[in-house]
Amino acid sequence: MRFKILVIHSFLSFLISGSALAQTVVTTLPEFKWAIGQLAPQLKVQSLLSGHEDPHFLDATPGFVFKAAKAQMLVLNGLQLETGWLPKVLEQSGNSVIQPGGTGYCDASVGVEVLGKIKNFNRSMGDVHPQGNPHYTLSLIRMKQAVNAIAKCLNNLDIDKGQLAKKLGALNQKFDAKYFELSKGKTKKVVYVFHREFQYFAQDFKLEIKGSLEKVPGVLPSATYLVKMATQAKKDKPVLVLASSTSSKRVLNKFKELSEVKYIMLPLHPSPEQDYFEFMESTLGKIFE
Amino acid sequence: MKLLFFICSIIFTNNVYAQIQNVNWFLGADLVGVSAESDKKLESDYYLREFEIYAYAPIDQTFDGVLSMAYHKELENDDEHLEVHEAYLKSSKIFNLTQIRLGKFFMGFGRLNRFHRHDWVFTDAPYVQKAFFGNEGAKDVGIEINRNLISMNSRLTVGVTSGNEFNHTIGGHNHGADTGTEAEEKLEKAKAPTAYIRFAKYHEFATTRGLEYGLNYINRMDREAAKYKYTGLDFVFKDRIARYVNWLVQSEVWALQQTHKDLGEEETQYKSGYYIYFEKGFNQNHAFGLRYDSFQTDTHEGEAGHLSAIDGIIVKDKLSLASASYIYRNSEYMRTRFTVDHGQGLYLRDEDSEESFTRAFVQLIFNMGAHPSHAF
Repeated sequence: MRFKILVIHSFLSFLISGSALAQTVVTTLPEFKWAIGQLAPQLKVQSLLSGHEDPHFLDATPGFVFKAAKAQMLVLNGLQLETGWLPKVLEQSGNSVIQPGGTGYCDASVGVEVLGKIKNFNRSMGDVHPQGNPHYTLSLIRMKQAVNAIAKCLNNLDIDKGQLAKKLGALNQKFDAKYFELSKGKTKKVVYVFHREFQYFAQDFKLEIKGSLEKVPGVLPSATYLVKMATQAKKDKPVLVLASSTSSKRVLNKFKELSEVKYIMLPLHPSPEQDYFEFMESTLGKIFE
Repeated sequence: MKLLFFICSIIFTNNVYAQIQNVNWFLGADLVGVSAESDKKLESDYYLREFEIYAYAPIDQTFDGVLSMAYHKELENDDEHLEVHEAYLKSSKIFNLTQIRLGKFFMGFGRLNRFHRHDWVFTDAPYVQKAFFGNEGAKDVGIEINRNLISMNSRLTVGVTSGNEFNHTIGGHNHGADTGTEAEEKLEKAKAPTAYIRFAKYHEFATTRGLEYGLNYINRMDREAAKYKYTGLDFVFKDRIARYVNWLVQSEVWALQQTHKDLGEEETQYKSGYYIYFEKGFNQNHAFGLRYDSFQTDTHEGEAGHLSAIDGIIVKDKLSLASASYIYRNSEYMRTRFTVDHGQGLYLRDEDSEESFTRAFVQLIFNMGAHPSHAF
């Protein structure tokens, strides 16, 4: 009997003994890691993704779970970008602070002016997001809005609020200056896209998206549809097909063969150590060179 | 009639209450066709194996709730029934780094047992899974605690359940042709609770590539005071490219020591088995899989008649089974799987001779609604 009590007591002590959370912030996307580095460089920040993945299609790996388990704050893109895996990561983390509604749960899309909301959604529409297009970090304007939402969340942490406000002011100015610099002199260009990741980006930099290689978002196009789009391209005269680096190269090559329109595959997110402005500059450079 | 009542209740509940309360609903169907060589006395059929309805939502500021019911039928008999699959509370907000489940659930050990059958990577469970944990996995009423050991990149799972239900063949409602006595006794309680523990370690090679292995131990005693000690190793490696799994390797190895009293004398039996499965994805639509599974038992000559048939197959000494599958994913929510398997070294029902067999399976799985996000 005494042995049983000892075992139960030890187990309960083990349960209660969770180590105190470090002043750590975990972000889903690397660009949020960069943003926090600008706003509060004293914080330890980790990005779950390294920028080359398709953030829609990942597994809730134990690696993500362990990182989230010790975080004091989690910053996510929201708009269902991470809906396939993040809820399970949160659930398995056993970290009450970062659960939805908790002080450490930070949805960066709050305050972002969202495009592409869908009212009457059903799955026949393909992989679309009823709350709106989640790829807003490819827009300097929207990313600035997200950074302001993140700064608001960071106020919940034990950091110097005055310093945070000062850094946010400076960063907002940098965003405005960078947008002015990068959008200056851009003339309207017609493009096609593979998927609809470039909606915000196109709006920022005067790109007109006239067609998509996917008939239904998230579904590989049929040969018939590609032929139809290639014929259409003769009329629309797109200068490029914009595609993410995780798009199907086979489909892009086939379309290029049919339409003689070049394609460009671009990363949708910077790498964890990359400067976000540098990433945007490089992305634009590849399109407008 | 019962099914009709069930569906009507769900629709009514869904319309009237669920939309108000923001409950997430998920509905899934699993249709299977099996064609076996006619002279082998194995079943051939095309049937709705499972229709599952699953609801989940926060209950309050501390707990989330999960309720799932399934209507299903197994290959080996015509019994179609409706049952509660899971009904439990879970929380990640009580103890730091810890997740607790309380209620009726599929127990968190092994690989397959932690996933619902419609999410398995193959149509037909390996023989060892069916023999030890039933056609769709072991479930029971109890408590389970999962604790992250983050400094070790590990996770510890400990569970204690009533022991009254373990799997469909052994403890719950009966599917087997030779287990009539068990079915009659199913209302009797187990002599001791079931306890299990799993220690899992994860190695991350990249955000899209990782390996997890788990060490498992289960201890249970059934209503006839027979003792079961299961020891197992589960393993999974996944490499993902963009929207699909490029490589998947999954395996489980299990050993069972079963002790029971026969005419006052204690007898111990050993059974073991494993499977290993490889899957190669070609793009988001197409994948190809190969599986090998093996099962051994030390049942002596003349005892085969006492063993339960699983899908018409009774293993006396050793069963080896190889299968090949082609998987077509129309979308994330619908897939079709074609499988051919070949087994060797077994006893078939009503036959007392060793035979081989070949079967072909076709499976169609689809779901509607809000499927909960997937674990690794």
